[in-house]
Amino acid sequence: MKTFFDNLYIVWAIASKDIVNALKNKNTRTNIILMMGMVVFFYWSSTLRPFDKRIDTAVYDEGSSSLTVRPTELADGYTFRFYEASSLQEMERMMGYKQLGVVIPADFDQVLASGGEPTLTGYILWVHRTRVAELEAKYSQKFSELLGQPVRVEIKENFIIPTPGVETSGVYFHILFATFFVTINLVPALMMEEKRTKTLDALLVSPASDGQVVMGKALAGLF
Amino acid sequence: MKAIEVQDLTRDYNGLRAVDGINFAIEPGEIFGFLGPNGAGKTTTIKMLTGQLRPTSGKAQVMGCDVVEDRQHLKPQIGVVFDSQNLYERMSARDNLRFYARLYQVKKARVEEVLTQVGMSDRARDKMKTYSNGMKQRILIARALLHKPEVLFLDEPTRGLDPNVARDIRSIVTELADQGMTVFLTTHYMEEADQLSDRVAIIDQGRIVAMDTPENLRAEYSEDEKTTLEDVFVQLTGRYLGRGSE
Repeated sequence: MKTFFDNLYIVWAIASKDIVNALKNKNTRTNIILMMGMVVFFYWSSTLRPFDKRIDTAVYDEGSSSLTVRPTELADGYTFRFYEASSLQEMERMMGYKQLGVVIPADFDQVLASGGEPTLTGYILWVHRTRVAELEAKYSQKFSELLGQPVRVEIKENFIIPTPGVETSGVYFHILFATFFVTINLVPALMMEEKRTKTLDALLVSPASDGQVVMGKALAGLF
Repeated sequence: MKAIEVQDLTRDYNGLRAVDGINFAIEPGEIFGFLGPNGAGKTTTIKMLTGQLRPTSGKAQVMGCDVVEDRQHLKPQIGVVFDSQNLYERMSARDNLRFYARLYQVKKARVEEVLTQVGMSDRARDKMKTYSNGMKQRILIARALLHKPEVLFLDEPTRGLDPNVARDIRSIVTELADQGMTVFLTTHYMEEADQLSDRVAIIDQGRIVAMDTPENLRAEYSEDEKTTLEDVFVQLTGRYLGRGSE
């Protein structure tokens, strides 16, 4: 009896043949290079996002602090814009269009008045972990400038994506669904190619079962 | 056990009966020639025997495996040379064979063996699209032999080939049969069938109209010693040309 791995091996043999063939094709190669170029471009452009010196901030105020009514333009040209949310959840939703979300603690004004260093809890969107410290420093500095005294912005694990329990976790589902959709659309095309060249007959008399051929094609489509 | 055993095998295509209740049995190691005019049902029969087509009715067993129910067991025991040269044109001959070697789970070394066997080792690195028909045909045979099948199906293996290649292929087939492989051969070339086959069956309009050794067939249909298998074939199937038997 054939083992699971034997079956998998045949599926992979069929898939890898298609993948290698596709890579040998000039058009496919051009497409892949274009795609990679686009990925690089979007990555590059998104790292430039705060380029216009505007810091759009969604704010959830736990108390009723005076932060949001303060003047928002800094001396070096940076501009703060605050968007108030009435709950943490609403703030997280608003983050879809903002670079930063902050939660102002209830005792913010008191600490500020007593000359201490108040701490804001920061949320950021789609930022790699390695950049967190850098952003933390930047936002701390900007908030300090804004308020005229030291303020810390602490970004811990507050990345909006991926944050469990927030609606945006649906993104995973959509990526998965899109991949699956593209894949199942590619299977008939790949099968037709085999049928046109009549190589499908040869596949069907080989030990590969019908299911394995389809699985192999799906796997090739996935790439 | 017979290598191939067929009982009342029938196949309809949209109401048209392509194969009509044929019966035959082939011994292991035999070369069986399956002859017939175009559209007589030869390829349909091969497709049913290799599990590519379901019979409408009737039964067929190849190496003891039912062609419908035991398809997965049947597959490793048969090799098929198709009537079309269905190879991956963009891949080299070696890559083509290696791909099938993976499907059949045979070692890579076997690829070199079959390439040598069909005399194509030198050109194995070239892409299939640069090959001539004769070279492709050799690769097709190499592919069918990869897993050392018990039964080899050849669907018009020498069609459109020059005499040199055709002769080479015939000698490969004879060699294989000498090693004990059962060969099921369809062809239009009567000389080829006469020369290669231990027995031939002539099929016409889906029915087997004659089945015997080539010598017996010649003797049966004419007393003239010069009678060829072609004469017999035309006598049996050539009614459209007004030359059929009465």
